[in-house]
Amino acid sequence: MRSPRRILTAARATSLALALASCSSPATPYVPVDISLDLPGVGPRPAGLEQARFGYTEYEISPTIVRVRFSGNPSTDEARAVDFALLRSAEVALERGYPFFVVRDRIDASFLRTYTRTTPGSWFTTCDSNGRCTTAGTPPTTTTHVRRWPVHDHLIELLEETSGEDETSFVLDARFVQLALRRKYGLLMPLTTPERGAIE
Amino acid sequence: MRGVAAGLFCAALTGCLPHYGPIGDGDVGYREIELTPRIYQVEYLDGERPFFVRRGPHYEELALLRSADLTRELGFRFFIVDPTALPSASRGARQLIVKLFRDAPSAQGVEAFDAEEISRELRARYPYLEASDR
Repeated sequence: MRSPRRILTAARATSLALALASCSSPATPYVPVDISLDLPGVGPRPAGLEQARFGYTEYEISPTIVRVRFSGNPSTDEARAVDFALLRSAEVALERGYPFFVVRDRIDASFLRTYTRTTPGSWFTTCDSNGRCTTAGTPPTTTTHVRRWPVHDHLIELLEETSGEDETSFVLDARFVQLALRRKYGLLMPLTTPERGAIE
Repeated sequence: MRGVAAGLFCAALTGCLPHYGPIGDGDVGYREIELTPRIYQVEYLDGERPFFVRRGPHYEELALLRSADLTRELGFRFFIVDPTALPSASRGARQLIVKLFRDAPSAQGVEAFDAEEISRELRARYPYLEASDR
């Protein structure tokens, strides 16, 4: 028969493991937001963020100016979110038939959210052969922690050529960036990139 | 927790000077990728060392030093840093995007770093970096 102390230890370990598991969902993958909603393993949306959308999205401001956003979850490393915004910027340029782009502005739209978790207490009473009973256990506890949700916006301008730019401008070769960042994160290259005009 | 234990251990032994070398085990060190010819993303990661044992150069300085060393290794002399790149919110990590030049760029309002000067200045300030070069 297992002793009460051992049961108590096992219960504590289980509750700790469950608490840790609920904190660590996988980092947001490189996918458009509409797909990320249905991905297995992304985990349930936290309270108040049921409508949150993870992944990349873009908003066209003008035919050559686009705002690209990558939204991660708290398990997404900050640098990874920035890189995925840059990768999506390169792929937006290629999909629209522009070989070059320049990041005109970067906006850190990340936000913090406070979570409160209450763990119910657990109590055990054991009695010996003389009828003496003892009670042991843990009282309920409430823990609060703050987590950062990384959201990065890139305001990009799409360019057909580099000749109009100043020598100190950071004009990026979209194909080059796509290859470099996909290699960095072990992402397969997309099968085809539509030629300009094909998606219009 | 593992970072705290490792931090206490190295504080007792070495004083925890940050590693300056390519990223290996433990996610400490630098790495760079070429985004476009002459434009590089340079990252320095300081691992999970707790702040109370940190000594020596800040990770910002080490990212700048790696940018200078990379510039020299590739046969350039000057580099500029993309001003739109945001400081990373990650603990102990810095990512720079740099563009390399053989001659100082003439554009107004752009701060060009002399790679040799940066390298010399930081190595003079933190002599242990010389040892890590060998």
